[in-house]
Amino acid sequence: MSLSKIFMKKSPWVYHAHAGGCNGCDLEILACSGPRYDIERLGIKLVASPRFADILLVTGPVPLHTKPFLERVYAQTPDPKRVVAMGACGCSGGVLVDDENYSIAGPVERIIPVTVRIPGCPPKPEAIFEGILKAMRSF
Amino acid sequence: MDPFWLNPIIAFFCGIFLSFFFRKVNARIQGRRGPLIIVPQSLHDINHSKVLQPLYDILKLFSKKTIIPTAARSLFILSPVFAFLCAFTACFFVPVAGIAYVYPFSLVILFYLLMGELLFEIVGGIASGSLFSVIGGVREVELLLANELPFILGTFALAISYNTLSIQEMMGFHILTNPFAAIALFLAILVKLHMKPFDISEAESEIVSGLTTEYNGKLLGLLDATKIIMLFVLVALFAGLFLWVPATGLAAWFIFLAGIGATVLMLAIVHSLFSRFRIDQATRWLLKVPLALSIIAVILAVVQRYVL
Repeated sequence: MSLSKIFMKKSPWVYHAHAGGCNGCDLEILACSGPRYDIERLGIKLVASPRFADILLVTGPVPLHTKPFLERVYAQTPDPKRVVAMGACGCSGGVLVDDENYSIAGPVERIIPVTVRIPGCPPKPEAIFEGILKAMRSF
Repeated sequence: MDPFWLNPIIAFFCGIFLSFFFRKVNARIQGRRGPLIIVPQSLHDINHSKVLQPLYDILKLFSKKTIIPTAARSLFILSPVFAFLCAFTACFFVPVAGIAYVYPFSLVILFYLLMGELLFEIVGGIASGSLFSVIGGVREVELLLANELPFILGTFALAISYNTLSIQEMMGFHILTNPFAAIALFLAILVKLHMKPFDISEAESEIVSGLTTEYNGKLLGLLDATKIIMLFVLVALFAGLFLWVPATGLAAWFIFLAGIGATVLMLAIVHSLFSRFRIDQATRWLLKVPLALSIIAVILAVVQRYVL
């Protein structure tokens, strides 16, 4: 294991990319950084810009008009990076799974490579924590 | 001769512990745990202790790739380096347990180096070509203009009462003899370190990250290291000027560490208890309260020196 991978594992910074979700997942992410679950215990930090991020936490089914922005956010994140698709919509499309849906560009994995999927609608904070830890360990 | 050339190294490692302490106090006041000191058994493959978390952050940023925006100019790359050099040089002039480069005008040099660090940060942010950075830069310049007066007057109050411009000669427990200067300098430090009532220039919820919006990878790592050294320099300046009892050897180190610990504790409490000022409120408040306090401090110093 190279030296850089060790440090990548020790301080992952997470950017929450909102791609057309319903805000359910977003509230659970906020709960993650609250007193009960507190992701800062392991040095995980929610950052404001994809430029600082190591892990992209994507929520929502990615509507057509959000697709170019998601691609751009992924391009703006410096390597090495991981993507975590979160929620039923992020993993598979959820209730918007219909292939003939005129406004959905598909689940996240059709647009950018996904490492970890966190199912649930919305996932519990424990599940989000576990997903971020899995992405951390995959560096 | 004093080993003042060790100051930057001490500054960096002390700054990492101070930064960790800051995060921990901040988290405890908010009812969170903060970075763990002892990590549970099941997570030992990641880490055993998170005390060095700020160091891991910097090393991680240095091991990432750096993206340079196409709109950025060459100053985008150069100015973090110059900002780091300014902070690095400032370490020589700030007394670490009483040890500093002996120079009769060290206070003036320190003013220019601290201002230079902020100016290079502003120049780098504006050269990045991002609008968020430009807004952050404008706010930072406004804060800098409003803040320099109380900062300089607060420290010059001590310079007047000791009739010197060397930091080493004016050190002492002056929080009792001139408390107004201490409060003015404390508020100025809050502004210089972008802490909570005055984190307007990097307001996360409004302008992403202000001046550092476009920075990433190694350049952001350099800026983070600069930030950590700046935290140490300003905290050590405050502890040296207001919380220092003359001593030598191990006792001096003990007093110094207690002083910087107490200062960071106060900074963290203020940071976690207050919300953000708007930019117009902040400039108005800075030109009202800290300026008045620092003028009172100067008058007090003059009275103490020339009248009593």
